[in-house]
Amino acid sequence: MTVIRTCELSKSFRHTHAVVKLNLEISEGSIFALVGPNGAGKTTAIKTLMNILRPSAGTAEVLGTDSRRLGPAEFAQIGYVSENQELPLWMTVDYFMSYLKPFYPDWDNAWAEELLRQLDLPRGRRLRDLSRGMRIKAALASSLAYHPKLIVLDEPFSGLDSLVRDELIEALLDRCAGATVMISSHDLAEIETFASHIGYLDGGCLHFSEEMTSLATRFREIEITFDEPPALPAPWPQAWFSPTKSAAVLRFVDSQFHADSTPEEIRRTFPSARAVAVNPMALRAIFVSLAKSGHKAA
Amino acid sequence: MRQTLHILGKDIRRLRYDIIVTLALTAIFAWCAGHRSPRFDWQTARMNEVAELLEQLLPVAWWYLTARVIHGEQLPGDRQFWVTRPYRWQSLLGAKGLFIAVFVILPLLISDCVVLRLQGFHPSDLLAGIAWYPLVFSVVFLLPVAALACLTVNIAQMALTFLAGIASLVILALFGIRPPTIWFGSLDRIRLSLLFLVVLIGVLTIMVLQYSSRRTGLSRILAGATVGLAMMVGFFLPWTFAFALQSRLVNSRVDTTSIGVQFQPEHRLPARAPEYTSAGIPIKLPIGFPGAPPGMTQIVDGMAGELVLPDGKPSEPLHMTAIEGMKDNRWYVMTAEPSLYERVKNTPLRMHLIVLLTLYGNPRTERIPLDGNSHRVPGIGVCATEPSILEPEKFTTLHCLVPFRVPGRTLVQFDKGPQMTGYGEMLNSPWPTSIGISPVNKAYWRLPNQDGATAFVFTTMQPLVHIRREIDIPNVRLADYAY
Repeated sequence: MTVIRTCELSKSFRHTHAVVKLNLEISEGSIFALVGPNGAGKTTAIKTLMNILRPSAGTAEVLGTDSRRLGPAEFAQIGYVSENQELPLWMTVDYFMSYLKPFYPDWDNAWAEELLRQLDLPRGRRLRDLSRGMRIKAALASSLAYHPKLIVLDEPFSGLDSLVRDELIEALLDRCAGATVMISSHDLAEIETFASHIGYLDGGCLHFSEEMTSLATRFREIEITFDEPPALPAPWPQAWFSPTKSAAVLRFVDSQFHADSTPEEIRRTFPSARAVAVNPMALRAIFVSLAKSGHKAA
Repeated sequence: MRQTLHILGKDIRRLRYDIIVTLALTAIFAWCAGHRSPRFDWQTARMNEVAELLEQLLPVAWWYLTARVIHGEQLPGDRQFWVTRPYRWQSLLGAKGLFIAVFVILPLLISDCVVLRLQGFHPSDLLAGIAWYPLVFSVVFLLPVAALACLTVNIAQMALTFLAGIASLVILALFGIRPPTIWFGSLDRIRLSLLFLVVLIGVLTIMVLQYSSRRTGLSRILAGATVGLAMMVGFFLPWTFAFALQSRLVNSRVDTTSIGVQFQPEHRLPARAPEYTSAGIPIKLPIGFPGAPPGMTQIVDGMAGELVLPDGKPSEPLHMTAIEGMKDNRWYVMTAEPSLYERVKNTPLRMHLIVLLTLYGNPRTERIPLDGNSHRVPGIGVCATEPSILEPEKFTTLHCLVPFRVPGRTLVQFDKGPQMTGYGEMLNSPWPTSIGISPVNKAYWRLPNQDGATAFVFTTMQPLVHIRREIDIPNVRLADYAY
């Protein structure tokens, strides 16, 4: 079942096109990471999905409902946490939780207690007196206590120290089995550890959206050693990008790596190659390469 | 309803100190206003001062509380935590409305009843005013502020928007765009009532739109349109339209065929060089209205005329800007544009006048002895007399505390001596309450002392019917009537 589906979804602010014809599908149970540089349109896309902003064009469905019609029934099944969310700072953590409880038919007291304990939240302290990380944790606890079917997290780790990040991720993974998670982040190292699917958004455009395993499989850094400085072939294959030469070594990123066919293609393209090294890439390296290449190879 | 009460409970908890302060101010106001004396009294002067101060402060406190409760779930913006929580907009709007009803309107109603009771009035006798008061109060004082709060993110932004609005009005006034001065009598209340109706429809639409869909851009456009429409009504509403509307609202069987309109040149004022005012040249026309049925009198609500120029074309309309002759309303001041005046001042011209009148009747007379004590006057309120503070040997002042509104037309005279008459409020409100914070208004009349007089005599009259009359006056030379 598809939990989120968008069709040509666009959002513009006067002359700025924040999201451009976004086509996206997120399946039930997946942990979908929406990544991209700052200003890529991630937050706008999420806010449009959550009916915080109205789309300029196109449509989006969330839990089978048009995003523009998301109402209390749908929000009772959605947990949304954003880095820049304005919380009722005058409330204590305890009152915040007890205030929200009647809004949710599926609120689980025991679970809420467990979340507060696990996240080590000071119950009697006002939200205004909490650190930024603690506030995010309070928002997360209040968004998980009713077993939401869909959890949407917009840059939840931004500006947090690694210890808090680990706690949040742990809470998320431990407590959200079965839920669909959509998380936007530019913290690629963290995302890599738990996301099942990933989408890359830049300039408002979605450059790809696929399973993490597929992404990890198809991106490779290729390092070819020659006896003497090589000449680059023309035309240069579209799937190979970010080529760099240093003396007799040529490096590039292959975005369509196949263990069976790619080595053969390299040998055919570079018959004078003395040695070819194929290195797996971390998510961060992939996105740095994509960003530098202008995403043409994605 | 459960969600409404839940949100209300949260708002009460958040604003408990603000609520306590506002309720305390309201209670102090009720106590002080309830102990006001109709006449000047050193013992109650301090109470009077506090009540008058609180009349200025309380609206600010209510506006603050209204804005704070609405900003608790701020509507513009995209970062509020509550917009992705299962709030029903009807519950949220209901909670805010309930909060305002419970902590602003209800205390005010209780305060009104306390003030009325302390002043010797029985609230049960004034149910129309008590029932009408929350509506007038909400439309005039609360709803516009609530709508503005729906369009802003905090008090500071709201205050800036308000100041920008005031600045815009000042700038418009500098360019000569301001409410007209040609409105008289109850017609002005019709204009105000229409203006409030526009405001009511506008702010309710904005609030429902904001709470149901948070479309702040569209709501702000609507707010601008509402302000524009309100200004159109306030500045440019044709007075003849207001009169026609007012006439429809009155269902009277009074025969008015005997009432005429008569140009009375014999009452012309002695000629003198005219004054050039910013509005133009005042032309004082002596006009009488013979034929009023016995026990009835008429008040002119408005008058407009035009001259038939030498070329046969009508002039720009002349509008009545004042009534002079306190005793018998003998002169009606029309203001002529200076260039028109200079062009035709010595030419005999035909003038066509349209006159709108309200006929008053059902007189009720009450006596108030000149003994310095407070007396209850049916249909008016509580009244007391005292020598005028500044010129006690020359004048006597009659002070009254009047619940909700001053009667339509009030004539005051001594029981003996010449018929020196003072007029009360000539603006007959079609509604049971005036606009204001206090349910009890102060009114006073000052008359020259009369030897042998033992009492003031109050005559109040009620509006019965609105009449339109037209008259053609041949051979009018403006120079003969310019003053």
